[in-house]
Amino acid sequence: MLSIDRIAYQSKLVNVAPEIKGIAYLVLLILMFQGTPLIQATLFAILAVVTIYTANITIKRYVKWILLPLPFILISFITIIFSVTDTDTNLLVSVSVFGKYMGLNQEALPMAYSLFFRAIGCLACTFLFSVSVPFNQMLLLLKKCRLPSVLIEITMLMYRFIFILIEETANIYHAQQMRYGFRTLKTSYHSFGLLLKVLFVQSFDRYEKMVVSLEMKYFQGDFPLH
Amino acid sequence: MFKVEKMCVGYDSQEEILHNITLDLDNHHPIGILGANGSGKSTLFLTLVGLLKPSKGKIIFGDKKLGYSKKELFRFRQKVGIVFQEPDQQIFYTIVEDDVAFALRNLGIAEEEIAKRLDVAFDLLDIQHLRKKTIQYLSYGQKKRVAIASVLVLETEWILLDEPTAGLDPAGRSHMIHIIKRLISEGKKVILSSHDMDLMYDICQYFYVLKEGNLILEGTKQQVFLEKNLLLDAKLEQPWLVKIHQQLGLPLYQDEAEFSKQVATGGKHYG
Repeated sequence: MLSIDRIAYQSKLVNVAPEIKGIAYLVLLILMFQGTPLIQATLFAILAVVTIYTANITIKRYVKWILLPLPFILISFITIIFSVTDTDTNLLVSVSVFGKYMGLNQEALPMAYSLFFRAIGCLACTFLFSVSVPFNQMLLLLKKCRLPSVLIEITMLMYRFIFILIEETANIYHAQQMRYGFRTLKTSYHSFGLLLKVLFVQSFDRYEKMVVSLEMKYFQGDFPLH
Repeated sequence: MFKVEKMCVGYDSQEEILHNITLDLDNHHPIGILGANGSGKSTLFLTLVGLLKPSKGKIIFGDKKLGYSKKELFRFRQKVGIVFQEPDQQIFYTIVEDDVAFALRNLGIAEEEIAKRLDVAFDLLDIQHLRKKTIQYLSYGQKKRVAIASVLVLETEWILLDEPTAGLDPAGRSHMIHIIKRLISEGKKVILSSHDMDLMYDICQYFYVLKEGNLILEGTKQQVFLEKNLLLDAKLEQPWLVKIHQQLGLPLYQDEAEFSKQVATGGKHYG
């Protein structure tokens, strides 16, 4: 089981109806999209506390989760506030390069601000949602949303098999590490190629075994969801 | 020196897999790690070779605390090798020879030296005839031996074997036992993990018993296997040699070879 799902099963909110959690998630997202940076930041702080409390996780762990996507947010923040123009009228600080000006764009600053808070706020909503809604409730929600059953089936199967894939990848990776597969850049490329090959062959092998066992269970082409 | 001191492994205190493990791996070789499925044997092995980092406590190797920089791990792993349970997840090439040479080529060792080391390993494991074979057509037991060969060529002082007999047929199993004994007689320091009690009794001298990530029992052959209730509690059982000793009153034979010899010669106690 993915550790995020284990946390969700042990969440203090696990018995709240999934519909309510789904609607709350939507409302929070809308608030995060509409609000000013101040509202977003306050909401973020509240959500962080609620998440840590209801999911029973350490503050350190939560901070780690937030830090994970932070580089992406920061990169977009930086690319928005930096601009290259012909004049330096709009620029707070600038350097002239080959007759052009490169620097901090004053007009883009508020936009970058609100984007930053919006992104991090939505992130907090999503974290709370994913650590309080276990996977089976998620499927129920998808079904309530009238999503095509093919899509839900695929989601379910992906969830079922992703752990096997992760575990297998980890096992192969460990075996390669022990045999110095990632010692230099060249051996790393080579080992990575081998890893993909072995993974592919193993997946195929497992697929064939699964087909056999499905056959024995009168599989008709779809997985009924109750 | 190879020691583990008060080691915990896990993501955080809520999801700890191993709790406060202390092992002294220097004496009484070979060493056996006993435990049921999910008791933490494999996690312990992954930590012992530096693939997982302990969250508390430490591993001491050669008078120093084990460091986790690339350089330190590189040096450490030239002393300690591991054979994983599933051969299909540690064999990457199509031809046996190429796969066994993988680690040596990564190290940039000369081809003549590689050929020499392969020869030694193939002879030791009785797989010289499989050298040029395609892995796909090998039996499960043969694949396991290829996996061992690929670690053996690294000439490490220590070899960790995770479930070496799991999934083998009786012939494959007894061949594997033969091979492990040969490794031991070659002077390798072997650590085995298994719940094949007869195998462990036959081969190892000192034991650690894991239950749900806790070390519940340790000691020599004579101490550990007589603790019937603790073993049952850890979802294990006694080896048959100990069972016949306790239930039939036969002498406690040290291994199956001694038993066969005694039975063949009529034994001292069973005239």
